[in-house]
Amino acid sequence: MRLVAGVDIGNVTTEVAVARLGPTGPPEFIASAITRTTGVKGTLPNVRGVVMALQDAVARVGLRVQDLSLIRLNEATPVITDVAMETITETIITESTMIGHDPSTPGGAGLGVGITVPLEQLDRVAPGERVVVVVGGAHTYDGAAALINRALDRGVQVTGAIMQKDEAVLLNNRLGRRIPVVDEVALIELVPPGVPAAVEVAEPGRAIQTLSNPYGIATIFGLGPEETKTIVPIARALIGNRSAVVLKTPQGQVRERRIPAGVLTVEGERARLDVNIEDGAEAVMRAVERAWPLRDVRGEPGTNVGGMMQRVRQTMAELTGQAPAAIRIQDVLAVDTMAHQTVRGGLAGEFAAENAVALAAMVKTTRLPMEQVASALERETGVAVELGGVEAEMAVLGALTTPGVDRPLAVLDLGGGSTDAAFIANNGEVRTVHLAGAGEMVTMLIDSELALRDRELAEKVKRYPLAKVESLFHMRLEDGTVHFFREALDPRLFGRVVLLEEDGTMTPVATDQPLERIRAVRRTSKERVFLTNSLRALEKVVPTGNVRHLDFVVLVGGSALDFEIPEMITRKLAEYGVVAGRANVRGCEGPRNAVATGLVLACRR
Amino acid sequence: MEAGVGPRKPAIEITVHPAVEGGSVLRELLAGLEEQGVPWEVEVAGGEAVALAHRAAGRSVLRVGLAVAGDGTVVLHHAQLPPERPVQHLPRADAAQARLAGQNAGRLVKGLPLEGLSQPPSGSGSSAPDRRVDPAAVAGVVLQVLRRLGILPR
Repeated sequence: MRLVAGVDIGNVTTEVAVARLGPTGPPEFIASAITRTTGVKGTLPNVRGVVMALQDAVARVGLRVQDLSLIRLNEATPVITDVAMETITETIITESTMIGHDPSTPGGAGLGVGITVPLEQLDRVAPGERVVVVVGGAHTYDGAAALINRALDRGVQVTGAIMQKDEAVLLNNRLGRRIPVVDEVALIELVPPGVPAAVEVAEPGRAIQTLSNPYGIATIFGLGPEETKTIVPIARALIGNRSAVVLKTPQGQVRERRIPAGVLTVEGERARLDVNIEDGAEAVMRAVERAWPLRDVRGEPGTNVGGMMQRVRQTMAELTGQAPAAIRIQDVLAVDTMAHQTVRGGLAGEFAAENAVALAAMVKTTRLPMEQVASALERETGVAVELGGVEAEMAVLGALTTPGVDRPLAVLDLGGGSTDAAFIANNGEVRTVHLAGAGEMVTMLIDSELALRDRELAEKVKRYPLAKVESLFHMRLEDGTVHFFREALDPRLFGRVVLLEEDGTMTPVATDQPLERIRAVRRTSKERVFLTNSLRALEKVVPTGNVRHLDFVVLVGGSALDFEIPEMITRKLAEYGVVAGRANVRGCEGPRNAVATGLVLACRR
Repeated sequence: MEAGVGPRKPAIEITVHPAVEGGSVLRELLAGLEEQGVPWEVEVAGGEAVALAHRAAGRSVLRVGLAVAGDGTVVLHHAQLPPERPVQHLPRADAAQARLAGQNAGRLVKGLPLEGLSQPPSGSGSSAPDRRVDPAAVAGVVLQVLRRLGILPR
């Protein structure tokens, strides 16, 4: 009777399976364990994590690590991935010409058009003139209201107001006439006097109609066709706002810059194709599929995509110790996305959603130095250590222990950096593929589309379901159910969208965006990465190239633990008549432990 | 704005100490409520601010109450909270704090996130310790060290 441990060192977790092996019969699995991988996968610091996981596993059955007869280590997949993103449009307002920050309580309603006048100079304006009054932070709402009312009484047409403090409602309530007032304009001193301006505030629950329409702005300021083209980015940035201000400065040059995104050259065994990044992610992926399998992917030097691919190459070079020029990129996944950029020239920190493209890239490296890890582990434990077979094959062996599956079987390994697939035919032959783009890319997309600028928070948004705290005692979960609490919730969570973590922690999502939008971004990000890659990967491992010819697909890997990715894939593959679902390794481990289990199963007697 | 007879109107109930009835704290508090566009009713009475605020919240159809004590202390309370746990407690509030309390009362009714509460839970979650440092305190420590080392005169 021998005691054998299978050890799978992954990018994120290290997993262990321990079994008793008799001279005949199947191995008897007695324990398993999981810890975080210590250090970068395939490097010596891994040993510490492996020993911890082994101790954890054997302690559960009252044994010591020294009692093991053999440790079998995975032969890590020599694949490294990286993600990058670049915007391809940029809104620049060289002269300050718009205020679109959407304060929560603007005053009044309607559209006011006139020449800007500082409040202090309102007394000098002639009766009959149409003006928009600019109220600096030094004025009280009472004082400002008195001055504006006096001007109105003199016959000055005060049509709207822009103010620095959060007092738009207070001001409007004290005026003889209801006018649109936009407040909380931080940089009010940048509003030039004597220029034509338009102030628009929509009724509660509505969005502005005129300033979010390029022709609306053209009508107000009498713009020609050429000028109208230049204000399109302003109108676009104001869509959906409840209030806005547009100023026409004489030298006002607002333009949208199309950044030369550049050309991506996809070099494969079947073709060498140039594709313009501006044509979008779909065009890039069509080129990748036509040229597949890839030899290398390069970006046009001096362009955005060129710089982006250079960064990817640099990162890969640092990780593998190879020269950047020697790096060959063997897969890319392109995804169209939006990046929120501060509008250059805005007056209140406005953001605009710019078009962007996200790229994940993958390289195969020379074998990771797992032998070093193996010998260090042997010294540390005093137990014999050997390297097991190819990781993907071990994953298949482990996945086959899922109840209800049989050969031919396809395994989708949904990881952090790469999406891998393996197919085992009736005769035991295994085909594998590794594709760029997985969990980390989803995190990047969520981070940029929600403008969180916080990778850690984006990771949590990916991982946990949402809820809206509707009162101090209840929240509405994202599926519509309502959850009540006996104890009052923290008032700081009141009115906010929160993430519900496993341990009961509620983390507020630091954004003004509604729950529905956060949820939509989360789901589409997952779909665009994992649905796309699942189909791509399966097409490449099915001998016929047709996903419909598959019977069983099981999902393993960290992202298979996600609360919605497996169901998305199950639903998608059902359209192809394929049974797909989360693996349940050995009927008890779920999508975890497949490789560790496979290593034990592949052990020679 | 006096509390009317008959069924109460939906309003935030405010209890204010007679000594500060015409003061700036109440004026700013009401300005905050007005900016949020939420109706209110004012009652004049003395007593302990937290208890008064909780009682005011209990009277309010909107379940939200405010109290201004004689020393300018402002308390924002919700009827369903335990009396000793107000939403916001601002001892001797200044004008800006009073404005904020008024705004928060409105936000509490409207279901919007509150602002300026002690330390908002950090975006990336867990109960990370407060790492904000007071520059003046740092300067003080540096000064002390330099003096002890004899680099600066004591």
